[in-house]
Amino acid sequence: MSEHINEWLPAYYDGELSGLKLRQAEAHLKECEACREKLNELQAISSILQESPAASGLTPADKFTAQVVLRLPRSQMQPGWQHTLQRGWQALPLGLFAGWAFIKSALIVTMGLAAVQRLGFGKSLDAAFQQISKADQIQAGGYRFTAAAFNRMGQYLVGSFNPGSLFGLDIFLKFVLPAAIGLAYLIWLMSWWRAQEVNDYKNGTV
Amino acid sequence: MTKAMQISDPEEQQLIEQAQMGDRQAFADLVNRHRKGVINVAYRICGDAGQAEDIAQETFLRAWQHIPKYRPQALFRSWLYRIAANMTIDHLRSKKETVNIEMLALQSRDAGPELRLVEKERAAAVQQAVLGLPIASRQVLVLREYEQLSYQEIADTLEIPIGTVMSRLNYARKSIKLSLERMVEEKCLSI
Repeated sequence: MSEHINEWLPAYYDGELSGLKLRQAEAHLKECEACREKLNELQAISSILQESPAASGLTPADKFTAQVVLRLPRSQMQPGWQHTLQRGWQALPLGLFAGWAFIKSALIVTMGLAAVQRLGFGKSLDAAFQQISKADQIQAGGYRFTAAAFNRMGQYLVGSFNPGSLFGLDIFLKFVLPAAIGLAYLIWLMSWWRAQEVNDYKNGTV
Repeated sequence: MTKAMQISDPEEQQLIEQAQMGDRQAFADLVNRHRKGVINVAYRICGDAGQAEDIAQETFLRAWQHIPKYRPQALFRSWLYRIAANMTIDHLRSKKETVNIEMLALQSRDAGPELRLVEKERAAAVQQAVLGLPIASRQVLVLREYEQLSYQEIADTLEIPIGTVMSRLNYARKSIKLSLERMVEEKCLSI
Protein backbone atom coordinates (compact mmCIF):
# COMPACT_ATOMS: atom_id res chain seq x y z
CA MET A 1 0.00 0.00 0.00
CA SER A 2 1.79 3.09 -1.25
CA GLU A 3 -0.83 5.87 -0.85
CA HIS A 4 -0.90 7.82 2.41
CA ILE A 5 -3.66 6.95 4.84
CA ASN A 6 -4.57 10.51 5.85
CA GLU A 7 -8.26 9.75 5.66
CA TRP A 8 -8.05 6.74 8.00
CA LEU A 9 -5.24 7.87 10.27
CA PRO A 10 -7.46 9.55 12.93
CA ALA A 11 -9.71 6.47 13.02
CA TYR A 12 -6.62 4.26 13.37
CA TYR A 13 -5.31 6.47 16.16
CA ASP A 14 -8.68 6.36 17.97
CA GLY A 15 -8.76 2.55 17.76
CA GLU A 16 -11.76 2.57 15.43
CA LEU A 17 -10.29 0.45 12.64
CA SER A 18 -10.60 -3.31 12.41
CA GLY A 19 -9.99 -6.16 9.98
CA LEU A 20 -8.44 -5.42 6.63
CA LYS A 21 -8.33 -1.64 7.10
CA LEU A 22 -6.45 -2.03 10.37
CA ARG A 23 -3.88 -4.38 8.82
CA GLN A 24 -3.45 -2.05 5.84
CA ALA A 25 -2.94 0.96 8.11
CA GLU A 26 -0.40 -0.91 10.26
CA ALA A 27 1.52 -2.09 7.18
CA HIS A 28 1.54 1.41 5.72
CA LEU A 29 2.73 3.03 8.95
CA LYS A 30 5.70 0.65 9.09
CA GLU A 31 7.04 2.00 5.83
CA CYS A 32 5.75 5.61 5.71
CA GLU A 33 7.62 8.24 7.70
CA ALA A 34 5.16 11.06 6.79
CA CYS A 35 2.17 9.15 8.14
CA ARG A 36 4.07 8.23 11.31
CA GLU A 37 4.71 11.94 11.85
CA LYS A 38 1.03 12.69 11.44
CA LEU A 39 0.22 9.95 13.94
CA ASN A 40 2.72 11.55 16.32
CA GLU A 41 0.92 14.88 15.94
CA LEU A 42 -2.37 13.28 16.87
CA GLN A 43 -0.76 11.80 19.98
CA ALA A 44 0.75 15.19 20.83
CA ILE A 45 -2.63 16.94 20.51
CA SER A 46 -4.27 14.35 22.78
CA SER A 47 -1.49 14.67 25.38
CA ILE A 48 -1.70 18.47 25.40
CA LEU A 49 -5.48 18.42 25.78
CA GLN A 50 -5.46 15.79 28.51
CA GLU A 51 -2.70 17.54 30.44
CA SER A 52 -4.78 20.71 30.72
CA PRO A 53 -6.19 20.83 34.25
CA ALA A 54 -9.73 19.73 34.98
CA ALA A 55 -12.25 22.01 36.70
CA SER A 56 -11.00 22.99 40.14
CA GLY A 57 -12.69 24.23 43.32
CA LEU A 58 -15.69 21.96 42.82
CA THR A 59 -18.24 21.07 45.48
CA PRO A 60 -17.28 17.77 47.20
CA ALA A 61 -18.96 14.75 45.60
CA ASP A 62 -21.24 13.86 48.55
CA LYS A 63 -22.37 17.47 48.95
CA PHE A 64 -23.04 17.77 45.22
CA THR A 65 -25.14 14.59 45.26
CA ALA A 66 -27.04 15.73 48.35
CA GLN A 67 -27.80 19.05 46.65
CA VAL A 68 -29.11 17.26 43.57
CA VAL A 69 -31.24 14.83 45.60
CA LEU A 70 -32.73 17.70 47.63
CA ARG A 71 -33.74 19.45 44.43
CA LEU A 72 -35.30 16.38 42.80
CA PRO A 73 -38.95 17.07 41.92
CA ARG A 74 -41.48 14.71 43.49
CA SER A 75 -42.86 13.55 40.18
CA GLN A 76 -41.15 12.00 37.20
CA MET A 77 -42.43 12.05 33.64
CA GLN A 78 -44.45 8.98 32.77
CA PRO A 79 -43.38 6.74 29.87
CA GLY A 80 -45.25 7.51 26.62
CA TRP A 81 -48.03 4.89 26.84
CA GLN A 82 -48.76 5.64 30.51
CA HIS A 83 -48.92 9.34 29.71
CA THR A 84 -51.34 8.72 26.85
CA LEU A 85 -53.47 6.44 29.05
CA GLN A 86 -53.55 9.07 31.79
CA ARG A 87 -54.55 11.79 29.30
CA GLY A 88 -57.25 9.50 27.89
CA TRP A 89 -58.62 8.86 31.39
CA GLN A 90 -58.65 12.58 32.15
CA ALA A 91 -60.56 13.28 28.93
CA LEU A 92 -63.14 10.55 29.61
CA PRO A 93 -66.01 12.91 30.62
CA LEU A 94 -65.56 14.77 27.36
CA GLY A 95 -65.68 11.45 25.49
CA LEU A 96 -68.85 10.43 27.33
CA PHE A 97 -70.52 13.72 26.49
CA ALA A 98 -69.42 13.47 22.84
CA GLY A 99 -70.76 9.88 22.66
CA TRP A 100 -74.08 10.90 24.17
CA ALA A 101 -74.36 13.91 21.83
CA PHE A 102 -73.55 11.71 18.82
CA ILE A 103 -76.22 9.12 19.71
CA LYS A 104 -78.80 11.85 20.30
CA SER A 105 -78.00 13.55 16.98
CA ALA A 106 -78.07 10.22 15.15
CA LEU A 107 -81.45 9.51 16.69
CA ILE A 108 -82.87 12.90 15.65
CA VAL A 109 -81.63 12.45 12.07
CA THR A 110 -82.99 8.89 11.95
CA MET A 111 -86.40 9.96 13.25
CA GLY A 112 -86.42 12.82 10.75
CA LEU A 113 -85.66 10.44 7.87
CA ALA A 114 -88.39 8.06 9.00
CA ALA A 115 -90.89 10.93 9.24
CA VAL A 116 -89.97 12.20 5.76
CA GLN A 117 -90.38 8.71 4.33
CA ARG A 118 -93.80 8.33 5.96
CA LEU A 119 -94.88 11.53 4.20
CA GLY A 120 -93.75 10.00 0.86
CA PHE A 121 -91.13 12.68 0.11
CA GLY A 122 -88.36 10.17 -0.69
CA LYS A 123 -90.49 8.34 -3.30
CA SER A 124 -91.52 11.54 -5.08
CA LEU A 125 -87.90 12.72 -5.23
CA ASP A 126 -86.80 9.41 -6.76
CA ALA A 127 -89.69 9.49 -9.27
CA ALA A 128 -88.75 13.03 -10.33
CA PHE A 129 -85.31 11.81 -11.30
CA GLN A 130 -86.82 8.98 -13.39
CA GLN A 131 -88.61 11.56 -15.54
CA ILE A 132 -85.66 13.77 -16.51
CA SER A 133 -83.57 13.15 -19.69
CA LYS A 134 -80.71 10.61 -19.84
CA ALA A 135 -77.99 13.29 -20.16
CA ASP A 136 -79.40 15.19 -17.23
CA GLN A 137 -79.52 11.94 -15.27
CA ILE A 138 -75.80 11.41 -15.87
CA GLN A 139 -75.08 15.01 -14.92
CA ALA A 140 -77.27 14.71 -11.90
CA GLY A 141 -76.04 11.19 -11.14
CA GLY A 142 -74.83 12.17 -7.71
CA TYR A 143 -78.13 13.70 -6.77
CA ARG A 144 -80.04 10.72 -8.11
CA PHE A 145 -77.93 8.33 -6.13
CA THR A 146 -78.49 10.40 -3.02
CA ALA A 147 -82.21 10.52 -3.57
CA ALA A 148 -82.37 6.74 -4.15
CA ALA A 149 -80.29 6.06 -1.06
CA PHE A 150 -82.45 8.46 0.92
CA ASN A 151 -85.56 6.67 -0.27
CA ARG A 152 -84.24 3.20 0.59
CA MET A 153 -82.98 4.25 3.98
CA GLY A 154 -86.33 5.78 4.79
CA GLN A 155 -88.12 2.61 3.69
CA TYR A 156 -85.84 0.52 5.84
CA LEU A 157 -86.37 2.73 8.86
CA VAL A 158 -90.13 2.74 8.52
CA GLY A 159 -90.15 -1.03 7.94
CA SER A 160 -87.91 -1.86 10.86
CA PHE A 161 -89.40 0.55 13.40
CA ASN A 162 -92.46 -1.32 14.47
CA PRO A 163 -94.11 -0.11 17.67
CA GLY A 164 -92.43 -2.92 19.68
CA SER A 165 -88.89 -2.11 18.67
CA LEU A 166 -89.55 1.62 18.93
CA PHE A 167 -90.65 1.05 22.49
CA GLY A 168 -87.39 -0.89 23.18
CA LEU A 169 -85.32 1.84 21.55
CA ASP A 170 -87.15 4.46 23.53
CA ILE A 171 -86.42 2.63 26.79
CA PHE A 172 -82.78 2.24 25.80
CA LEU A 173 -82.33 5.89 24.85
CA LYS A 174 -84.29 7.37 27.71
CA PHE A 175 -83.11 5.16 30.58
CA VAL A 176 -80.33 2.66 29.82
CA LEU A 177 -78.01 4.99 27.91
CA PRO A 178 -78.18 7.95 30.35
CA ALA A 179 -77.79 5.49 33.26
CA ALA A 180 -74.69 3.88 31.66
CA ILE A 181 -73.16 7.28 30.91
CA GLY A 182 -73.99 8.53 34.41
CA LEU A 183 -72.46 5.42 35.99
CA ALA A 184 -69.26 5.75 33.92
CA TYR A 185 -69.03 9.42 34.92
CA LEU A 186 -69.56 8.51 38.60
CA ILE A 187 -66.75 5.91 38.43
CA TRP A 188 -64.48 8.46 36.79
CA LEU A 189 -65.36 11.07 39.44
CA MET A 190 -64.59 8.63 42.28
CA SER A 191 -61.29 7.62 40.70
CA TRP A 192 -60.34 11.29 40.15
CA TRP A 193 -61.20 12.10 43.77
CA ARG A 194 -59.09 9.15 44.96
CA ALA A 195 -56.15 10.23 42.77
CA GLN A 196 -56.39 13.75 44.19
CA GLU A 197 -56.27 12.35 47.74
CA VAL A 198 -53.16 10.27 46.90
CA ASN A 199 -51.47 13.32 45.30
CA ASP A 200 -52.26 15.49 48.32
CA TYR A 201 -50.80 12.82 50.58
CA LYS A 202 -47.64 12.51 48.43
CA ASN A 203 -47.19 16.28 48.30
CA GLY A 204 -47.59 16.50 52.06
CA THR A 205 -50.56 18.87 51.85
CA VAL A 206 -52.74 16.56 54.01
CA MET B 1 -28.95 -7.05 21.14
CA THR B 2 -27.45 -3.59 20.72
CA LYS B 3 -23.84 -2.73 21.42
CA ALA B 4 -24.95 -0.59 24.38
CA MET B 5 -26.85 -3.49 25.95
CA GLN B 6 -23.87 -5.82 25.53
CA ILE B 7 -21.51 -3.58 27.44
CA SER B 8 -23.86 -2.06 30.02
CA ASP B 9 -22.94 -2.64 33.65
CA PRO B 10 -25.58 -4.91 35.29
CA GLU B 11 -25.28 -3.08 38.61
CA GLU B 12 -25.85 0.24 36.88
CA GLN B 13 -28.75 -1.24 34.94
CA GLN B 14 -30.34 -2.24 38.24
CA LEU B 15 -29.85 1.27 39.64
CA ILE B 16 -31.46 2.72 36.52
CA GLU B 17 -34.47 0.42 36.86
CA GLN B 18 -34.86 1.36 40.53
CA ALA B 19 -34.57 5.07 39.68
CA GLN B 20 -37.21 4.59 37.00
CA MET B 21 -39.53 3.35 39.75
CA GLY B 22 -38.87 6.56 41.71
CA ASP B 23 -36.06 5.31 44.00
CA ARG B 24 -34.11 8.45 44.99
CA GLN B 25 -31.27 6.56 46.64
CA ALA B 26 -30.62 4.60 43.45
CA PHE B 27 -30.61 7.86 41.52
CA ALA B 28 -28.18 9.37 44.06
CA ASP B 29 -25.84 6.43 43.35
CA LEU B 30 -26.10 7.16 39.63
CA VAL B 31 -25.30 10.83 40.31
CA ASN B 32 -22.21 9.75 42.27
CA ARG B 33 -21.07 7.53 39.42
CA HIS B 34 -21.46 10.12 36.67
CA ARG B 35 -20.93 13.42 38.48
CA LYS B 36 -17.32 13.82 37.42
CA GLY B 37 -17.94 12.98 33.75
CA VAL B 38 -20.97 15.27 33.45
CA ILE B 39 -19.16 18.20 35.09
CA ASN B 40 -16.14 17.58 32.87
CA VAL B 41 -18.20 17.60 29.67
CA ALA B 42 -19.90 20.84 30.68
CA TYR B 43 -16.62 22.42 31.84
CA ARG B 44 -14.68 21.55 28.71
CA ILE B 45 -17.45 22.94 26.51
CA CYS B 46 -18.19 26.13 28.48
CA GLY B 47 -14.81 26.75 30.15
CA ASP B 48 -16.16 27.79 33.56
CA ALA B 49 -16.05 25.42 36.54
CA GLY B 50 -18.84 27.14 38.51
CA GLN B 51 -21.19 27.21 35.55
CA ALA B 52 -20.27 23.63 34.70
CA GLU B 53 -21.33 22.53 38.17
CA ASP B 54 -24.66 24.36 37.87
CA ILE B 55 -25.21 22.80 34.44
CA ALA B 56 -24.37 19.35 35.87
CA GLN B 57 -26.99 19.81 38.62
CA GLU B 58 -29.60 20.85 36.07
CA THR B 59 -28.58 17.88 33.92
CA PHE B 60 -29.25 15.43 36.76
CA LEU B 61 -32.57 17.11 37.59
CA ARG B 62 -33.67 16.76 33.99
CA ALA B 63 -32.39 13.19 33.91
CA TRP B 64 -34.49 12.35 36.99
CA GLN B 65 -37.63 13.70 35.36
CA HIS B 66 -37.02 11.84 32.11
CA ILE B 67 -35.48 8.62 33.42
CA PRO B 68 -38.78 6.65 33.16
CA LYS B 69 -38.49 7.20 29.38
CA TYR B 70 -34.85 6.08 29.20
CA ARG B 71 -34.35 2.87 27.22
CA PRO B 72 -30.95 1.14 27.08
CA GLN B 73 -30.51 1.59 23.32
CA ALA B 74 -27.62 3.93 24.14
CA LEU B 75 -25.35 3.84 27.17
CA PHE B 76 -26.69 5.67 30.20
CA ARG B 77 -23.50 7.74 30.20
CA SER B 78 -24.14 8.78 26.58
CA TRP B 79 -27.70 9.70 27.48
CA LEU B 80 -26.50 11.88 30.37
CA TYR B 81 -23.80 13.50 28.26
CA ARG B 82 -26.36 14.31 25.60
CA ILE B 83 -28.46 16.17 28.17
CA ALA B 84 -25.34 17.88 29.57
CA ALA B 85 -24.07 18.91 26.12
CA ASN B 86 -27.47 20.29 25.11
CA MET B 87 -27.84 22.18 28.39
CA THR B 88 -24.35 23.63 28.01
CA ILE B 89 -25.16 24.82 24.50
CA ASP B 90 -28.42 26.38 25.74
CA HIS B 91 -26.44 28.05 28.50
CA LEU B 92 -23.82 29.38 26.08
CA ARG B 93 -26.50 30.64 23.71
CA SER B 94 -28.34 32.40 26.50
CA LYS B 95 -25.05 34.08 27.46
CA LYS B 96 -24.25 34.59 23.74
CA GLU B 97 -21.04 32.65 24.38
CA THR B 98 -19.10 35.65 25.60
CA VAL B 99 -16.01 33.78 26.78
CA ASN B 100 -13.55 36.55 27.46
CA ILE B 101 -10.19 35.18 26.45
CA GLU B 102 -8.24 37.89 28.32
CA MET B 103 -10.21 37.17 31.48
CA LEU B 104 -9.57 33.49 30.98
CA ALA B 105 -5.82 34.05 31.10
CA LEU B 106 -6.18 36.25 34.19
CA GLN B 107 -8.42 33.71 35.92
CA SER B 108 -5.92 31.03 35.09
CA ARG B 109 -3.12 33.04 36.67
CA ASP B 110 -5.19 33.33 39.84
CA ALA B 111 -6.31 29.73 39.73
CA GLY B 112 -4.11 28.40 42.48
CA PRO B 113 -0.57 28.45 43.80
CA GLU B 114 0.12 24.85 42.79
CA LEU B 115 0.67 25.66 39.11
CA ARG B 116 3.68 27.56 37.93
CA LEU B 117 3.16 30.59 35.69
CA VAL B 118 4.25 28.81 32.50
CA GLU B 119 1.92 25.93 33.15
CA LYS B 120 -0.90 28.33 33.83
CA GLU B 121 -0.28 30.11 30.57
CA ARG B 122 -0.12 26.84 28.71
CA ALA B 123 -3.38 25.72 30.31
CA ALA B 124 -5.01 29.03 29.39
CA ALA B 125 -3.76 28.70 25.79
CA VAL B 126 -5.18 25.17 25.53
CA GLN B 127 -8.51 26.22 26.98
CA GLN B 128 -8.56 29.20 24.66
CA ALA B 129 -7.91 26.93 21.65
CA VAL B 130 -10.72 24.54 22.68
CA LEU B 131 -13.19 27.34 23.41
CA GLY B 132 -12.30 28.94 20.08
CA LEU B 133 -13.73 25.95 18.23
CA PRO B 134 -17.30 25.99 16.88
CA ILE B 135 -19.63 24.35 19.41
CA ALA B 136 -20.39 21.34 17.19
CA SER B 137 -16.70 20.43 16.79
CA ARG B 138 -15.96 21.27 20.43
CA GLN B 139 -18.58 18.81 21.66
CA VAL B 140 -17.12 15.99 19.58
CA LEU B 141 -13.54 16.80 20.63
CA VAL B 142 -14.51 16.94 24.32
CA LEU B 143 -16.34 13.61 24.22
CA ARG B 144 -13.46 11.92 22.40
CA GLU B 145 -10.40 13.44 24.03
CA TYR B 146 -11.61 13.98 27.59
CA GLU B 147 -14.25 11.30 28.01
CA GLN B 148 -12.74 8.71 25.66
CA LEU B 149 -16.08 7.91 24.01
CA SER B 150 -15.94 5.78 20.86
CA TYR B 151 -17.19 7.22 17.57
CA GLN B 152 -20.39 5.21 17.93
CA GLU B 153 -20.98 6.49 21.46
CA ILE B 154 -20.37 10.08 20.32
CA ALA B 155 -22.78 9.53 17.43
CA ASP B 156 -25.39 8.18 19.89
CA THR B 157 -24.77 10.99 22.35
CA LEU B 158 -25.07 13.82 19.86
CA GLU B 159 -27.51 12.01 17.55
CA ILE B 160 -25.34 12.57 14.47
CA PRO B 161 -23.94 10.08 11.90
CA ILE B 162 -20.49 8.54 12.50
CA GLY B 163 -19.21 10.27 9.33
CA THR B 164 -20.11 13.63 10.88
CA VAL B 165 -18.33 12.62 14.11
CA MET B 166 -15.18 11.89 12.10
CA SER B 167 -15.27 15.08 10.07
CA ARG B 168 -15.94 17.27 13.10
CA LEU B 169 -13.19 15.57 15.06
CA ASN B 170 -10.71 16.03 12.20
CA TYR B 171 -11.66 19.68 11.89
CA ALA B 172 -11.28 20.20 15.65
CA ARG B 173 -7.86 18.54 15.75
CA LYS B 174 -6.61 20.52 12.76
CA SER B 175 -7.79 23.76 14.37
CA ILE B 176 -6.15 22.85 17.67
CA LYS B 177 -2.92 22.03 15.84
CA LEU B 178 -3.00 25.43 14.14
CA SER B 179 -3.74 27.28 17.38
CA LEU B 180 -1.11 25.44 19.42
CA GLU B 181 1.46 24.85 16.69
CA ARG B 182 4.56 25.44 18.80
CA MET B 183 3.23 23.40 21.68
CA VAL B 184 2.40 20.50 19.35
CA GLU B 185 5.86 20.61 17.77
CA GLU B 186 7.53 20.54 21.19
CA LYS B 187 5.31 17.67 22.25
CA CYS B 188 6.06 15.72 19.08
CA LEU B 189 9.77 15.92 19.89
CA SER B 190 9.22 14.67 23.42
CA ILE B 191 7.07 11.66 22.40
